[in-house]
Amino acid sequence: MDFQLSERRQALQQAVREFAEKELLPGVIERDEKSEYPLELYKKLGSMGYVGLPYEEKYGGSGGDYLDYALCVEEISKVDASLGISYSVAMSLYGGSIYNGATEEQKMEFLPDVFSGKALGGFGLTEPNAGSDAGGCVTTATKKDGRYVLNGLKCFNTNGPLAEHFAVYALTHPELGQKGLSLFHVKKGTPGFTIGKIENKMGIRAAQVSELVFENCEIPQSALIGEECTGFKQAMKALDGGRIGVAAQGLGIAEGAFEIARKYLMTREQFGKPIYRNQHLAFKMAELECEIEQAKYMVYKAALDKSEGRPYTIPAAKAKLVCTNAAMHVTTEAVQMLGGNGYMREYHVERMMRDAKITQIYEGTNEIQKLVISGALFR
Amino acid sequence: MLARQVKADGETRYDYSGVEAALRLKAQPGCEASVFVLVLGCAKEAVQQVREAIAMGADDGRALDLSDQAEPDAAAFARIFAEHVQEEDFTLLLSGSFPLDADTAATGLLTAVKLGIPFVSHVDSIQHAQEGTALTVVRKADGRVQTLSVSTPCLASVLPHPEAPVYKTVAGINRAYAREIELISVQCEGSSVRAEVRGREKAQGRKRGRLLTAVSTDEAVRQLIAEITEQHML
Repeated sequence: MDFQLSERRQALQQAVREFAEKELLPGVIERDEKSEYPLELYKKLGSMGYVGLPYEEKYGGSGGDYLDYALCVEEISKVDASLGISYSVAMSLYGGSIYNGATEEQKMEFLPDVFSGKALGGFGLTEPNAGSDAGGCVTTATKKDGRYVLNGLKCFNTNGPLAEHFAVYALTHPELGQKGLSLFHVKKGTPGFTIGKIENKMGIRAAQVSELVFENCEIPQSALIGEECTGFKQAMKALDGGRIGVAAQGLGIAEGAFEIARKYLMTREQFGKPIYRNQHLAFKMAELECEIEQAKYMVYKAALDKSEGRPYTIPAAKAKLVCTNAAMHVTTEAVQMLGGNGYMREYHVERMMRDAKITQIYEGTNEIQKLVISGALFR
Repeated sequence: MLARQVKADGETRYDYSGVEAALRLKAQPGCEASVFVLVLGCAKEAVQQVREAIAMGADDGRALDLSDQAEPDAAAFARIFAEHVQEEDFTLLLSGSFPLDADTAATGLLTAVKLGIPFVSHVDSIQHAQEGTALTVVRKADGRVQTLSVSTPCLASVLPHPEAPVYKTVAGINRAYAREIELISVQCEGSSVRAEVRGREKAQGRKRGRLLTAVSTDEAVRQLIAEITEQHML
């Protein structure tokens, strides 16, 4: 076992950290307040090769692996979790869906723009009555004159208003329930496809989340990814990868808040001494440090399992559960440790606390992760 | 070509200005330059900084290990730099404004004197020469801005531009850690410089593939399967 990142990975981590501190940190509070997505900064990341990290160069990627990608999501999320999730969705959910199931010709057509960071990708699975239970989907894809006609509504789609490319799951065989789901690539601007309500959220406010509305939206047969009725499996596989991204996002949020709290405890003086000299706070920080380190090893292991071809469904679920719980716990404690200042926007930790909450919910709630983990225990 | 100095207990961000200026110049339309980085300092840190410069976009570099040199001064640094670049075919030498020479800012000037080439300090920007060999250089010092035409080869010490950093790219990082870096041990005694190749710092990149030769097809298949099984790909 080797718990040390290679020098190359450390350089990658350091480079993204430098970018995040210099480019993402200024303006992160304003973007949160105004719900503004930093699209130009995302494109800049793409131009330096950080967006398509885990995918091959021929598809616009950088030829790295999933641990490289997780490190990148982590570093971005230390500063701006909104960009972290937008990036994760484009790579893991859109990218994973298309990459895993598409033909070579489809990959060459649908991936390079997204993997090079020139465009964002979105993922349409959730519906008003199909959240944790993807089998509740009612969006249909009906075959007509050699084309598919999409009808239905997808909700909570990260990158929805901004993405150029979408992976959309719809029922080609409604009578089969979730087994009748199929995966399609849909391009922005396709007639019959519009963006619905844009959500006003508690956290990750700079990320753009919306409904996708399909009204007699005709797409060619060549937009089908994989075979008909394989959509559910493809979605679950993409979500496994997505959970590694969200775990890395949670880890980054926890680390970002922890570092703000650590510096605060060293500089804030009460009763004539820095407040870290109060053993209660110092011990609390020691516990949080252990929680973060535990989370880090979990997500790095899951990412390496995926990179090296080992099964990663369970490690990804464990990492998502542990990292996102760490995010919620550490940010809540950080707000408390900063006292009144922690409640104020300029100190960042209140935003991180709001951002942390959604990580326990999306890409499969943490209750679903426990279902996945316990399911493997009692097979 | 560009010279930097580092020491074991830290690095000087001033010297990044030299790397960044070289890369900005290289990125100018019509400029077909290649950037070579020369780093002087303790072995490990010097090699690390050569890799960082390559990750930012430099083409190649060399680390000069000065671990054995007792308290070098600007004159010693200058002699070492001059010794290492005088045989090279270069157009422009760049350094940071205050290399680690006890803040005398003299290393650049002394190196230029040693090489017998023009020296410009406090350079804010450099414009690639479209024709001829002269560079257009904007210099900012003592509250004044000067635009100068400087013949090449020359040496310029460059001001930092923290507002426009040059970031490392993924391709650059992969390149930097997939190659060996030449490490040369140097010593300066009086007016003479002694240099000795210490070796090449190993590549840090991914494990390279190996070529199966002189084996039968069956044996090649067997070895391939064993390898991918070990990698958990089967």
